[in-house]
Amino acid sequence: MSTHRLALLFSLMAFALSACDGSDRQVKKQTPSSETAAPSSSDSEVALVPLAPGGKVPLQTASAEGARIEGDPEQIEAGKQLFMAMNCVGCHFHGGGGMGPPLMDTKWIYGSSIDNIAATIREGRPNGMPSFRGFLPDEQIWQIAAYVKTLSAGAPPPFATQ
Amino acid sequence: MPGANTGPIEKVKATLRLGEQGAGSSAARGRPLRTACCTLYALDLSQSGAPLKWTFDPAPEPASQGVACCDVVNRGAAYANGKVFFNTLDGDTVAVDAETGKQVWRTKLGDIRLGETITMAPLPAKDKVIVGNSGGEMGVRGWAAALDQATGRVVWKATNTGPDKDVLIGSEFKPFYAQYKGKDLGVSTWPADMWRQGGGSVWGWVSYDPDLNLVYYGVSNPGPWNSSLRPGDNLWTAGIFARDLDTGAARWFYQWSPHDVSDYDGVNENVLVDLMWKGQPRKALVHPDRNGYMYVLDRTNGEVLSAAPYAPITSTKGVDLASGRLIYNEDKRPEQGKTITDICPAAPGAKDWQPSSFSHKSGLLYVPHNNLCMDLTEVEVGYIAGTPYVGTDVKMKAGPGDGHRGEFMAWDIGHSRKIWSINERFPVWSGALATAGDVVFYGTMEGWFKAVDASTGKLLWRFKTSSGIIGQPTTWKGSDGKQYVAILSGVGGWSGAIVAGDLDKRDGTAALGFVNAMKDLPDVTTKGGTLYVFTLG
Repeated sequence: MSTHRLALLFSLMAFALSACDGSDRQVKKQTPSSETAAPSSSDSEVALVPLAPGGKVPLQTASAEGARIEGDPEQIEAGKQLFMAMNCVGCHFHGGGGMGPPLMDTKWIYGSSIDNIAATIREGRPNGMPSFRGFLPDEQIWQIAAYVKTLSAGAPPPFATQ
Repeated sequence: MPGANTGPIEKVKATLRLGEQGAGSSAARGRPLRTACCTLYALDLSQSGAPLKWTFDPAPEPASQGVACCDVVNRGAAYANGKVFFNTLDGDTVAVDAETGKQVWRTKLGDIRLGETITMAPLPAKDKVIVGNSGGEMGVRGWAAALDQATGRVVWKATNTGPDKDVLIGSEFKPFYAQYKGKDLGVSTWPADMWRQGGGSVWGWVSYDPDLNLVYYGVSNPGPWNSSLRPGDNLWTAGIFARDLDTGAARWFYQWSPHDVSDYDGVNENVLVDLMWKGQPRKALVHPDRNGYMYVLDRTNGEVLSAAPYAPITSTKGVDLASGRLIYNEDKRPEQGKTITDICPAAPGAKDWQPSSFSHKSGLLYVPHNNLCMDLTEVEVGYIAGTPYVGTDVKMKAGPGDGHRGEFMAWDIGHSRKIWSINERFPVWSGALATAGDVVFYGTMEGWFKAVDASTGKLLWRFKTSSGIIGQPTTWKGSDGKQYVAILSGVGGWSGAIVAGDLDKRDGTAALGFVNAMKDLPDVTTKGGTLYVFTLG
């Protein structure tokens, strides 16, 4: 692990620990990168289903931020580090799932687009997925979403011991 | 246990389909807004077909599924004095009127925002009921509590880490070994403040000795799993407490695994038996621990009389009976960033929660257990409340032998030896039931419900249920004079999470590494719960 990566990891840890002490509102104020945080989620409108009344497809708009981050190796790498540091790995492991569902298969309960995945991380889901809104800056949510999306691409799980 | 029953078992007398809920387990992954585990059902056994009398759905917060480490499970309800007691995944203890199915009281004890759930079966004792929390993988601070059966009021609550006043250690505390003597060891045996997220939950079984008025329960693993982050003995985790039922005051403690490095929770059952030990009558406590040793303790004072291996062990070299300390194998001690291979037993232990059964007739202990080893890598982890606090990549695999991952054995307590053993393809994750008729029952994860001869282990009868079995057999004598035996079929739990949660076997680290050892389970069973009741001929 490079020094840079390690430093990133530790700063995230410190952030996480301090964040736990305050309410969500305080956390947002303390968020070190909140000033630089990318556009909020409000620029994307995501649907979870392909059905809409009137025989139409649901209205949705993809986020420009999502499109920018998706597929960018540096952003994906940052998302991978966050996936470990934010303990996503403790529920989803390296994609196979555990407490949370697998992420490396092709089943997406709440949609497969990066906008869907970011919304799931940001808002949480009813059966146990916590909401990271206010805990993580939006840019980091997009980075994790970008990494999660790569897990289902059929690649072997990273860090897996043989 | 009533009845002589060496004859053939009659046919199925009653069944109840429970949707996806099995053996106290419910697989709800990917089902939005579905109620989390578990509904309580009452069946009228006096009527043909045992019709439903009432159901009680405690409707726990569905989000609690997100902090339940090892599938969404409940280990059972208990009856006493006209009430049924059970715990909810979101941290409540509930008392229900056994006749009407109406709630009598409900007490909030655990907080899912701190990662606390409750999965254990309560133990009624005298006028109290004993419960404890789960969450050793979530950085909880473990505790046990006694509630008043009539009102649900908390009479006492004792933590398993932290200062003595919280642990209820006072002048009555007389541990047998020196390492447990001293002030606030639940603080000083940890790096600064780590005891606050140190695990040590109470999700297994509680035993009660009415003569001594003592309750006994095991304490889970310390958190995080990554042991490099928490040097010290990490008291009072991975051990056993004896407490005064009425006050909760600790009487003695013994630590099965000081500074646990392998997730060897100390929560397995404590079987209370009076026996002759080297010519002397002893009030004993027998405990098959996850670390692979069968302990015999003097339950009056916590002295270890014997600790004999009952499964292959590489993680340790034995127990020093003079000091009571487990002797670690330094070659297998985990290190951060380095993969240590072939650690036996694996994290679920030589035996997990699945309770054994003692036969007063044969004098043997019947033990369902595992044959699993693991490769383990410790990785960095930080505590974030309400998320997993583990810091370990694990891959489990079959232990020595032909690939079998489970065993069912008869153990001679007095001579510390195996009398017979049956290999099973998968971990034997069901409880055992020994009857006075010299028949022992257990279930397999393929779904076979088996009856074997108590003295030889010979298979007498088997029945294929609709799903893998992780439930506990039970037996009773009906009002018609016949003996019944029941089993809840329905795969799940940590070992069955690959099926219950539709996990992806390409990632061997999934479900804390259990998926790696269970890749063939989806080939032989599907999820779904069914209760089966048989009559014995």
